[in-house]
Amino acid sequence: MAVALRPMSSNVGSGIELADRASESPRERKERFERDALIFTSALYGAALRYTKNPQDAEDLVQDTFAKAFNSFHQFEPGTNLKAWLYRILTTTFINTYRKDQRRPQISDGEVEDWQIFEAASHTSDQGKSAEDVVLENLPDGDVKEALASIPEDFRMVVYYADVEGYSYKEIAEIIGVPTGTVMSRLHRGRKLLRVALADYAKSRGIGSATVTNAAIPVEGVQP
Amino acid sequence: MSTHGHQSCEEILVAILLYTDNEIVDSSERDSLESHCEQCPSCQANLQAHQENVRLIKQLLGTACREEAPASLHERLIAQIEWQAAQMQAQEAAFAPFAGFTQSFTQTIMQRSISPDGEITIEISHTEEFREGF
Repeated sequence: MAVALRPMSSNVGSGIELADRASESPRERKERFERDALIFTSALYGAALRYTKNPQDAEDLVQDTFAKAFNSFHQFEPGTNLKAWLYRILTTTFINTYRKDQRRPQISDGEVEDWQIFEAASHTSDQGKSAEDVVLENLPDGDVKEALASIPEDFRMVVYYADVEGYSYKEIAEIIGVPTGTVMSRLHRGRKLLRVALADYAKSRGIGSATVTNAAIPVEGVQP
Repeated sequence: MSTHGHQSCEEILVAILLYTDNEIVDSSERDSLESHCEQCPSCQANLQAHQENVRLIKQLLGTACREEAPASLHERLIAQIEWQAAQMQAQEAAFAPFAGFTQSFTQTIMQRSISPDGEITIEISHTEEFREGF
């Protein structure tokens, strides 16, 4: 089940207390940071690529994130979720730095009714793997990445944190700074949008076009 | 919408989403969903279709989105952290003569005012002081 992002107390981890962290030397902090935080470089780079959509900006974003994290590292409580803490910094850094001048479509939260959310699964199923699933399973990785990149960021990142990183709704809510109800609605709508995008890629490659058309999932009220 | 057990099919639709994402903490709620689906073919079909959809998405993304950071990035980060640690070190050394002082306070106040004829005045005052720990 859901793991709390910042438990009140924890006996996991290195157990270094706040007083010790405040008095540790820059060299000690550097060693602790390299050992505990830099191991997440590839994970952060993966998320950064989903945000920026290009490798150069993703590298810069990861570097900015670690620079900020190092400066605040004494505030991080060991034993709690360091990776999620880094993702939180990554998210705010992206929003404040890289998205500053971009106009983005406004998504009003909580607008998705439950029945709308559920449409993705409400098409009739033959009790298992559909023909479309078989087609999609064979899509090249490049198409899958592009399909994910094509859906709006708010949905894209929630799907990424849930379905690639395996975070709970509560953890995602803390990373991106929205209520858990919003995470839930964005996740289910995001999966729906992704499914449609994947089917489009399959169709454009001419694989399984007939089954894909039949099983296309309706998406209402979304203006990407 | 029909009812099987305690919950209506409509309620089950939402519960299926949570159930699939392991977000139902209460075991009696999970049991209730499972027994409903056992009795209700349409909810059972929805549950299976949703689970299969999520499984497929996780499988596709899991394979496609596992990125390896380039070696050049690792090198940049090591150099960056090294530099930041050196900066901190230098700062600490600069304050070493004030070792008896344990706290420093800085205050910057910026005041903007616009006069009726549109003239903008900005006043900035900055104070720094060190206080012995207490």
